[in-house]
Amino acid sequence: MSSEQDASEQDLLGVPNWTVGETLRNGWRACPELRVGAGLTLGLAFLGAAGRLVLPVLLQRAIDRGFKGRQVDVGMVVRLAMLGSVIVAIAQLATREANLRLARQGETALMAMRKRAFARIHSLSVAQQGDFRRGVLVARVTSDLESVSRFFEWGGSQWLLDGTLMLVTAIIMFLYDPLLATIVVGVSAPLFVILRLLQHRLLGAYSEVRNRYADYLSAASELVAGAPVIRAYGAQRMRADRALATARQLRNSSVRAGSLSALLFPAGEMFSSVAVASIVAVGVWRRSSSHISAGSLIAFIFLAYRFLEPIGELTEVLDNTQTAVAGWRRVLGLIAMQTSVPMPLHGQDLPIGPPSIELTDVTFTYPARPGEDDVTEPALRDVSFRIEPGTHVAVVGATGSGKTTLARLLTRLADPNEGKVTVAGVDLREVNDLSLRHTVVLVPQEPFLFATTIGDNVRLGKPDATPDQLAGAFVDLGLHDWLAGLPDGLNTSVGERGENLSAGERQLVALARASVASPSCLVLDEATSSVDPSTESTLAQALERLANGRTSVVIAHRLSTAARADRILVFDQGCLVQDGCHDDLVAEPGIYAGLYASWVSATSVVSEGE
Amino acid sequence: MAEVESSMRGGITMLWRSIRLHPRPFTMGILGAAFYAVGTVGATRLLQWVIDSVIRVRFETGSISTGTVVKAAAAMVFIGAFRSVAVIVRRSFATRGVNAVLHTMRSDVIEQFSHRPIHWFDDRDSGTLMAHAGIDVDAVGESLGPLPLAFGVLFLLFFAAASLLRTDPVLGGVAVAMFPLLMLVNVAYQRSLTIPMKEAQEAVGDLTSIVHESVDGAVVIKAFGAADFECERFNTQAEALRQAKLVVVRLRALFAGLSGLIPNLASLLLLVVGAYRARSGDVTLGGVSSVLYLFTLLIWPLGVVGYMMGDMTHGYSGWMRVRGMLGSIDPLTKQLGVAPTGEAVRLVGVGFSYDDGRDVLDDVHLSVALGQVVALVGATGSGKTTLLELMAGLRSPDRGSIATSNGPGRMVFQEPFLFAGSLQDNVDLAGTGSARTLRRAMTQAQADEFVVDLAAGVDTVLGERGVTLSGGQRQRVALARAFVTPSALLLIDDATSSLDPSTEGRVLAALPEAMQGGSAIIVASRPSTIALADQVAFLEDGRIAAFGSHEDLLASMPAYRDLVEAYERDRA
Repeated sequence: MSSEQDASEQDLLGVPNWTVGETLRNGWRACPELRVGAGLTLGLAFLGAAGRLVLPVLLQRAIDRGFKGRQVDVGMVVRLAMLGSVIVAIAQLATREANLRLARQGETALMAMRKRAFARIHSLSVAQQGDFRRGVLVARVTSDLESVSRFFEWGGSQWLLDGTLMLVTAIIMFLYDPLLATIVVGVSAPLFVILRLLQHRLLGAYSEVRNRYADYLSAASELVAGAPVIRAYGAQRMRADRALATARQLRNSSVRAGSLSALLFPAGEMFSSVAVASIVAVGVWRRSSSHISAGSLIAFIFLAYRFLEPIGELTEVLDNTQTAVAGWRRVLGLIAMQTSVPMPLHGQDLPIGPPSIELTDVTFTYPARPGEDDVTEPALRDVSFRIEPGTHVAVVGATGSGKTTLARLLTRLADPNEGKVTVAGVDLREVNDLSLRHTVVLVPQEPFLFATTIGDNVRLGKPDATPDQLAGAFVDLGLHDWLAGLPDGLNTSVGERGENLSAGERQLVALARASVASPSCLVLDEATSSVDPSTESTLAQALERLANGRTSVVIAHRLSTAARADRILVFDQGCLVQDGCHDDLVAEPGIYAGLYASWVSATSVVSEGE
Repeated sequence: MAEVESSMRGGITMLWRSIRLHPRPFTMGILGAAFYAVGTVGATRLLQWVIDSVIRVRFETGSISTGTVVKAAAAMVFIGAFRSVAVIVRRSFATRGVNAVLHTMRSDVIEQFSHRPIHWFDDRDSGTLMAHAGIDVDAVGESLGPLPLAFGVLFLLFFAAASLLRTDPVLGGVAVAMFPLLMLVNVAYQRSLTIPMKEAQEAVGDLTSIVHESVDGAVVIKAFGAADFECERFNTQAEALRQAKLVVVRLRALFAGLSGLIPNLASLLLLVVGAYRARSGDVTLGGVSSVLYLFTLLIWPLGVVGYMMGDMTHGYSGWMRVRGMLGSIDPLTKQLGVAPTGEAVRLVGVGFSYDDGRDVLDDVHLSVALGQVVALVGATGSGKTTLLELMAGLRSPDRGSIATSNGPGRMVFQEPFLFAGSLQDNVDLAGTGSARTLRRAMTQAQADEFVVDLAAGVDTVLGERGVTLSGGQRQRVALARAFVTPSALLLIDDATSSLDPSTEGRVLAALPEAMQGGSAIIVASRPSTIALADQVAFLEDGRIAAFGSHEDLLASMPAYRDLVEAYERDRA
C-alpha cells in the first residue's frame, strides 16, 4: 500500500496546488489562442439556444391562435411553421458554428501547449527529468492534454450550448409564468445535489475500474513478455490463475461502477416527471388563472423538459470538466517549471581546439526524491583536479563511487552545489549552451538509439551532415567493414530502441554519432553490458581513434580501457582517492591494484593450473 | 456495400453468440428495455389524456374535479417512476451481461497466452497480442453495451408506431415515415466518422511514441544539443494531430447541426399536418401534442440505434481478431527421451530451423555426463540460446533426438525477466519451494547480500511501483529461481555477464552445490568462466565443432583460440 502512495506522490511532482478557479485563470492567461473571438463564439451559442426554443413557443402560438376547438386556422399554423423553419435553420447554423469555433480554438491552443510542454521537458535538467517516473512526463504531453482536448470536443460544448439553452429556457419560463418556473427550478435544485453526491461515488468507482484495468493489462503483458520463463519453470497454471484473478477483479469493479451509473442515469427522468406533474397540478388548480392559457401550459411542459434534460447530463459534463481541469493543471505546472541548470543570458563561446578541464572543490548532492525524506549523501565530495588539453583520462571506481555524476558535471547536465567546473578556463555556468554542446560531447552509458536508420541516428551529432560525412565517421573509426556488412549500410533500420542491433553494435553507432559531432572534448560513460569478444576489440579500437586529438575523459568499466589512458583517476565513495598512470597505480597498494588483479584473473585465457 | 452488409451480419452473429453465452443478464436487460418502451408510450398517452381531459376541460369549462387533478399528477409521477425502474433494470443487467462476455473473452486470451508454446510467440509481435487483450476486447464491449437498449428501442418503435397510427393514421404515418431518416443520419454519421476517428487515434499514438522515445533518450538529446531538432520532429507530429482532429471536429459539428435541424423541421411538418387533420376533425389537440411529444422522445433512441449499427463493424472486427487468435492449445513440445544412465543429456543429430527459414542448428551431437559442468562457447548468432531452449523442452527439434536424465533442463535466460510482485514470488515461480530451499538458493546465487539491505527482505515488491533492481541483481534473482528446486540439468545462458568478476566467481563456485549431483551447461564468453568448466563445447556454424578440455581446444581449434583470446588481446 505504501508503495502505491509513493507512486502517486511522485506523480504529483511539479503539479501546482491550484483550485479550479486558479487553474482556469492561469490557463486562460497561458493560452492566448483561446481568447481569439471568444465573444463571438458565445454570442453564436446564445443565438443557437434561442433558436432551439422556438418550437415550444411556436407550438403555444399555434395552439392558442390556430386551434380554437373545431375551428383550426391552418393558414396561421403554416405561416408559423415556415417562420419556425427559418429560425430553426439559422439556430442550427449558429450552433454548428459555435461548436466548430470552440473545438478549433481548443485544438489550436492545445497544440501550442503541447509544443511548449515538450520543449520544457527537454529544457529541464537531467536530474529533474530523472525525478519523474518514466510514464509521467509522457502523460503530460499526451493523455493529460488529451483530457483537455476531450473537454473542448464535448464538455466545453455542453457548457456552452446546454448552459446557454438552460439560461434562455429559464428566462422564457419566468416570462410565461413565474410561479410555475419557480417550481421547475425548485425541483431541479435537489436533483442537482443528489446527482453531485452520487457522482462522487461514481468517480471513485470508475477510477477503481481504471486501476483494475491496468492490473489486468500488466498481468497479461507479463504472460507475453515472460512466456519463455513461465514455460521453463512450469509456472503456466500459476501465472494464468493470477492473471485470471485480475480479470475477475476487473469484471467485478466494472459491474459495480456500471450498476451505480444505472442508478444514477434515470434520476433526471424521475425528477422531470415530478416537475411536470407539479406544473399540471398547480397550473390547473390555480384559481386566478386568467393570465395563462391551455397553450401556455402545454408549451410550459415542453419547456420544462428542455430545462431538465441537460441536468441529467450535467454530472457527466462535470466529470469531464474535472478531469480536464486536473489535466490542464498538470500541464501548466510542467510549463511553469524552472530548469535547475539555467542558461546564461549572454554566454561565452569556448575557444577552438582541445580544452583543459578543471574541477575546483566540487561537491554534488542529488536532491532527495519526493517520497524519500532522508537527506542523501553527496555523490561527489570536494573533488579537485586539472586535465591538460589533449590528455586521455580514465575514471575508475566501484558502482556508486560518483563516476557517472562526474560525467554529468563535466557536460553540464547538472551544476555542482559547491565549487566550479571550468573548461578551457571558463566556468561552465557561463558558457553558451550551443558552444558547450559543440565542444564537449557526452556518450552516455546507454547509447540510446531512435527507431530509425543508422544514418539518422548518427546524424543526431550533426543535423546537417551529408551521407558522405556520415559514412566517413565510420571509416574514421575503422568501422567501415562493419557498416559494409549490414544489409542496407547507413539505411539499415535499427528497430525500436535499437533492438535490431546487439549491445556492442549500438555502442559502435553511438561512437560514430560522437565522431560526426567532432567535439574537441569527449566524455564517454562506458557501457557495462557484456559484449562478445570480437565486437569488444572493435569497440576499443574505435574509441581509441575517436579520442585521438581530443581531450577525453572515459568513465571506464573495463580495466583494459583504463590501462590505455594517459592518466587514471580512481574514485571511492565520491572522493578522488588515486591519481596517476597505469604502471604507477598497479605498483602501489590501493583500490586500483585490487581491481586490476581481479580483472586479470577473470580475463586470463591461461587457466590457473598452468 | 457488400462488405458493410457482411460485417452487419457478422455483428448480428456476434450479438447472438454473446446472448447465448450469458443468456440470463441479457434477457433481463432486454425485459427492462421492453418495460421502458411500454412506459414511454404510456407516458405519451397519459399526456394526451391530461391535455384533452384535464387541461382543456379546465380551461374550456373553467372547472375540474380535484380528484381528477390528483389522479393525473399521481399517474404522471407513477409513469416516471416506472420508466426509471425499467431503465435501472435494463442498464444494470446490460452491464452484467456485457462484462460477463468480456470476462469470458479475457479469460480465453489469458489461457492462450499462458499455454501456447513459445514458437507461437515467435511470429506474433507483442504489441498485437496486447491489443487482443486490451482494445480488441474493449471494442466488443463498446458494441455490446447498448444491446438491450437497442432491443428496447425496437420494442419502443413498434409500440410507438402502433400508438401513433392509432392516434391518427395520416399524422402518425408521417411521423413513422421519419423513423428511418433519423436512424440513417446516425448510421451515416458513425460510418463517416470511423476513418477520421481512427486516423486521429493513430496520430495520438504516433505522437505518444515520439514522446516516449524522446523522454527515454533525453540524456542523449541533451548531450548532443539536439533539443531543437527533437522539438521540430514533435511539432510536425503535433500539427498532424491537430489536422486529424479538426477533420473529426468538422464532422461532429456538421452532425450536431443536422441532428438538431432534422427533428425540429420534422416536428414543424407534423404540426402543419396536425393542423390539417384537426380541421377535418380527425384528431384532437391532445392527439397532435402527444404525437409531437412521442416524436421528441424517439429522437434520442433512434440516434442510439443508428449509432450502434454504425459502430458494429468496429466491435465485430475486434471480436474476429480475438477469435482468430483462439485455437486448440497444442502440447508444449514433443516429449524428451530418457538419457542412458550416468548421462544428464544426450543429443543425436539434432537440427532446428525457425519458421522464418533461418537454419540455426544442424546435426548437433552432444552428451554430458552427470556431475559435469560444460561451457558452451560460440560467436554471436551461432545458435547457443536455441540449443539450450531445445534441451529445456521449450522448442522441439526438427530432426534428431534429445534425451535427458530427468525431464527438461532448467534454463536461466540471458535477459532476466522479473514479474511485478514480491521477490519471493519471483524466485519461487511455481510456488513449490519451502522457506529453507528459498534461502539456500538465494545464498547460492549470491542474492542474499543485497536482499538483506531491502527493508521488506524477500517480501519486497518489485516492478514499476516497487523497488527497481540493477542488472546484476536481476540476474542473481533469475539464478536463484533456477536453484530453488533441484534439476538434473541446469542451462545457464550467459546469465552472469552483468555480475562483477568477484560476484560471478562466487556464483560459479556455488554451482556444484546448486547442481545437487546434476549437470550444468553454461554459455560463456569470459575466459574465467570457461576455466571453471570441466569440458568445453565449441559451437560453430550450427554444429558442435569441438568438445573437450579448454587446453585441448586452444591447441587444436584456431577458431576457438581466436574467439577466446579476444579478451587477452584487448588487455595487451
